[in-house]
Amino acid sequence: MIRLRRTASAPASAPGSAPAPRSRPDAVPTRSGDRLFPNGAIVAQREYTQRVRSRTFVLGTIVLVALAFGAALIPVFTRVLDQQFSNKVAVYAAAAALPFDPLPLITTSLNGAGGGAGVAASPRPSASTGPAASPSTGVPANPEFTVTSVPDLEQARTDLRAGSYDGLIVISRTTSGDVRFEYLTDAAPDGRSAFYVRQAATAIALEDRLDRLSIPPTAQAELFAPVVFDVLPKDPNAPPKQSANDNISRSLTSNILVILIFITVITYGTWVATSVAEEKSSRVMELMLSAATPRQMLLGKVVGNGAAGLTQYFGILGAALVGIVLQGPLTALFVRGPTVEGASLAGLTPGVLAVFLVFFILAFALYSLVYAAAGSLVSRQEDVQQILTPLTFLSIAGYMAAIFGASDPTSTWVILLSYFPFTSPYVMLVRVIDGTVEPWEPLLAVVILVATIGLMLVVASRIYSAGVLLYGQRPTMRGLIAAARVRR
Amino acid sequence: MTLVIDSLVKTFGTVRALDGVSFSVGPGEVFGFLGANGAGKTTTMRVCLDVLRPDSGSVTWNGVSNTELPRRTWGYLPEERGLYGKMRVLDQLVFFARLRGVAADAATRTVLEWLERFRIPDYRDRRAEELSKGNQQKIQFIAAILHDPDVLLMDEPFTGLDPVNVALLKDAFLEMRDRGKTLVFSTHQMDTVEELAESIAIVDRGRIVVAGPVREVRASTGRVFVHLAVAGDTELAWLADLPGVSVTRPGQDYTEMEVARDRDPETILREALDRGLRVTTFQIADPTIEQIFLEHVGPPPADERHLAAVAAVAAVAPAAPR
Repeated sequence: MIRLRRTASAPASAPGSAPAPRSRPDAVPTRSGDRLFPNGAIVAQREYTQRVRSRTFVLGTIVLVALAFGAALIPVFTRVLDQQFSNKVAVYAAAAALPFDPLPLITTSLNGAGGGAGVAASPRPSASTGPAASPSTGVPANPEFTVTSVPDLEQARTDLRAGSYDGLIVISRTTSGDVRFEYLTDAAPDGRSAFYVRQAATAIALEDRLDRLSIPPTAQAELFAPVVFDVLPKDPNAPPKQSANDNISRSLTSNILVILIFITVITYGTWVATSVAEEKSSRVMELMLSAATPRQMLLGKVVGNGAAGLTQYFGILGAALVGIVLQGPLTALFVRGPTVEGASLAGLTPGVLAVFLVFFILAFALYSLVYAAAGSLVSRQEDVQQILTPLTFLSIAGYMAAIFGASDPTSTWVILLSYFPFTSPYVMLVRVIDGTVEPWEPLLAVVILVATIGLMLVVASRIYSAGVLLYGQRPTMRGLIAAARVRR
Repeated sequence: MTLVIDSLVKTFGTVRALDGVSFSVGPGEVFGFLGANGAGKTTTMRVCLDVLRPDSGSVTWNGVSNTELPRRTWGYLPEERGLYGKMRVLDQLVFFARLRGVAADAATRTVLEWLERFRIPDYRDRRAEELSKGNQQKIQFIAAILHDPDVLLMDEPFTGLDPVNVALLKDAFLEMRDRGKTLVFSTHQMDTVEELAESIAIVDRGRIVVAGPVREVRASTGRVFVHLAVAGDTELAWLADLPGVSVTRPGQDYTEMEVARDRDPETILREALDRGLRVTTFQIADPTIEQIFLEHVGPPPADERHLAAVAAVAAVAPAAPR
């Protein structure tokens, strides 16, 4: 095939050459049609602008950003909601029920001074003599719970029902002589206030029992001193094993990242397919085909919609990050008492993040090319979902493989799927997070993916150019294969 | 600078959509492309644009194969009108022009000029879906000519427009011709062909049945027609008594009749005058393109399957409702 080069710069009257007369010197035939730029970029720019300006995008982004921000602040909300209950707690101790005043212990426990330490908290905070003694600096300046002692049980019950108190702790003795606690409240039985009250009750009961056994307070402190306990590996030279906690947060990390890829492929891939079907059903395709090649249109669509998807993503991520950053200050502002630590994402190292971004983009590119080809086969937008269903299953398969493979990342089928292009973005990512891969393994998966994307660009644009001129016909498998083989 | 279409053959499945279509159009020439629905007009244009590849045959412009020509050589107005509904008129026209290599600012200027000329300057910021069909058609016409293409392929450019807009479009059309562009248009409106086209081709089931300059095509049949109108009588019942005269089109404006070759058409005028009628119209005419079209293409062919199948591929069949 002879390619005529642009000869506009050559002198028209060059001796020896006989240029044909032309109306416009710049209209010298050059086949620029197959070059991806600038037309691919122009198409991408249109796709991006139209997508970002569309009402569904704007509304969807607003909703998702709000949701992400809200989700990031959920810990703060639960704390705030939690402290709405049982702010005022009354304590009634039956006459001679206890040999000491339980009030300080309950107050400290309820306001979280010993929170997390559990029953190991010093039974008598006033007697901070031993190493086990909680460094209870007392109650914070604005305590979450105010604890008052009430002398009249019946009066207290009436006040409780009237709403003067949020909770009432009744201390008495069982017939066997042990201390007995009743906590009357509308708060959840397994909520925070009940948990703290139980802690306080346990501490009081223990102290009471020890008192009844006549063990002096100093001995009590020794009793609760922590035990010397170490976990050591079988082989003293082996690297330290990951903690169970670390493993859990590792699988949380891989789950979150795999879900992110999955959602991206499904959502933004559907955008690409819809955009193709839209052009087809509005018949603007006829005009487009005379202006740009199928490859330019395909690539433009994938890049444009992908960029729009990323824009939405960054909006959501940004909102979530702002929310997470605000967690601390907002908790301090609205919640009395100590702040809680959020779940940590162990294994989210910069390296893993980089691998994730690469697989994220490649997965989108691969799937959206297939989605675009699929979108070109239907005549109406309503049919898009139908034709996408098999492809969605393919994506779900990769996602499931990654989730299940995470528990056994060294088995053969997981390793095989971590190279297969349609599942490798999910499965290889999980293996990378697990940390059991050689550096060349993700690299090989990426090479295979990129090669598949290149091949898919050719196949998809052939199916696309056959599909976009097909109206009202059901595409057959045979027709598709024939279309994929036609050199256009 | 001539567009040469040479022996195109294109088969869709078992259907021959094009069966040796050949014609050529010179610069500054307007070529009318006639045929029934599904005869192969749209397929021919798509092959020219290199959207479809023919099974055999070639398309060259200025001696260069269409597979080597840049896409901006062509200006195309598809029969299936379609624009980006949600896109503003100015934005999308500039978009189409940029795809064909026109700089954005130059394209904007040209678009505004054309909108002004087509009397729709206020529509520049409207979404395409808000426009009437006729106005959308004008936008598409602008999209086809914005990049100053050398060859214009227009599929039914005047269909569905009111007379004012038809006149506007015809003006633009003829201006393109005067600028030396090569114009090919298809239509069902035979009077438009006779008004605008220097040459025509009638295509039927993928084959060209008649082609040539309009004057020659009309004279080539050897048939003679007379247009006659007299004051106060639109029936002209006495014509039936004249030998060799058969009425082909009775009408309120005039009556058209075909006169046998061995008869002198002037005998009809003489007869009318002898009857004391006041003749307001008497014209001896070649057959119209419409008559030639009907003569060659005839009534709808019995082989409807052919039409339906080609129509589906040629993107004119609407999707069947589920």
